Amino acid sequence: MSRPRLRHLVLVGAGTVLVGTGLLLPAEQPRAAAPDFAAAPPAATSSAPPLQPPSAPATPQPPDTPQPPVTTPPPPPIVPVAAAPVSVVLPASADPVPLEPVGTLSSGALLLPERPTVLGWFAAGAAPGDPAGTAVIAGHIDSAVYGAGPLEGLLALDPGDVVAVTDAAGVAHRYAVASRTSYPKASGGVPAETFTRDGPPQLALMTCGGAFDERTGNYADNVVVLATPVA
Amino acid sequence: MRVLNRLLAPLAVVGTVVLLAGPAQAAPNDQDTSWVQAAHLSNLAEIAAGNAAQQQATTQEVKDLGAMFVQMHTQLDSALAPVAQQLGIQLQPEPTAEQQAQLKAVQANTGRAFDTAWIAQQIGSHSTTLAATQQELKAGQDPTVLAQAQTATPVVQQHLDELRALAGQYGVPTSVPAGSGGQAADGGLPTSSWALIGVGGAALLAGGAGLVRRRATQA
Repeated sequence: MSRPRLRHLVLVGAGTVLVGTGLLLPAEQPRAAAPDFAAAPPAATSSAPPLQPPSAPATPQPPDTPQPPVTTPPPPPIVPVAAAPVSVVLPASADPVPLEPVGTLSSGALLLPERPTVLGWFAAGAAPGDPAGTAVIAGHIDSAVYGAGPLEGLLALDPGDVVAVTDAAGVAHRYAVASRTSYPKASGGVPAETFTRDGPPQLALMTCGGAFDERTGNYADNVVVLATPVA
Repeated sequence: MRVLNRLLAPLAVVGTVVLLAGPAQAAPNDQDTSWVQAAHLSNLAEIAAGNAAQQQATTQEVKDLGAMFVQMHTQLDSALAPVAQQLGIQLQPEPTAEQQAQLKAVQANTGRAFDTAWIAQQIGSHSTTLAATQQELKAGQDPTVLAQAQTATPVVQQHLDELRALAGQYGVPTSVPAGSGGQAADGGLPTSSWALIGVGGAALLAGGAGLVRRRATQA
């Protein structure tokens, strides 16, 4: 056998071995099994805005400070209400994802838009921009009918990534990602307190994750990303 | 109904003031104009939603709330229309295409799902209306428009409170079914696999091409 022919045969043999080895390597971990994380506690607490208005005094005034005379009665208190959110921009893409208000079915399930490309805002909870409470935005990570959606990005984001929600008045509410937690559905899924209208203002992005059961068409976990307001 | 009368009583006063005021003395600013137009559109949308609730809701609470919305938003709009006319503000004859599409999406639900979707959509639209009315009270200029916003505030707030109370009966979600495709569970090949396949493929091509060329030369 001539030397050039031998060289070509060696190339073909080596190529076959390399391609075969590449195909036989174990598949990567499924994207849906994204690991949990949480921002360092000091960063998480310092990024939360104060519950008191900035103009409120941090400490009581000394007793000998003369008080200004009251000349006009204070205006009636108006509890500011945020307009309904209409879209959200997630870290993975600059394209806004439309939102629609959603609620709880009599079964207890959250009624979500069928298409993963439309997300739901839990209207009975807090709204982005409210002075207190957790604004919940949830949606299908994928669908047997419509395919994957933008919430796949929740499985790949990092602490500090910015999420921006725009409301019907055109106001943008920005949040920085603080944590990602998987809750096994078999153990009750998302904790009820996540849907609170009390407590510090924050955003919860919610979808499915973990192992996928082909037989039932369900994921094993719910994935919740919490984000705190940023200026 | 006593609450209804108390909330809507100022409308009669405002209406009388408008009719007696004659030509407007102060021009409305942009905020006044946009609020009057938006408030009118929201009245039209809430009336349409209220009618839909009476036809399609499965629970009496939602039907009753729908009836109340029709009555109260009709009265709010009856007081708003002469203000708009006096100030020369053009009003749209029907809800926007977006508002109509939102109601159509709610109406696509059947059974109790309609009630759930209707309550959620109405919380959203009333929140937006209330936020816009608060903005008018903060930045509006024309006294007759400001009076309308003052009158509308407790009415819209009451609607929002009742919607939230009704949503509270359904409680917070106990399950979040948010995926049925399984695409996110696919792992795919790791980067090292693609590197091996790339190098191996190149070697195969080079070796194969050499063999073919050699055979052709020999022939």
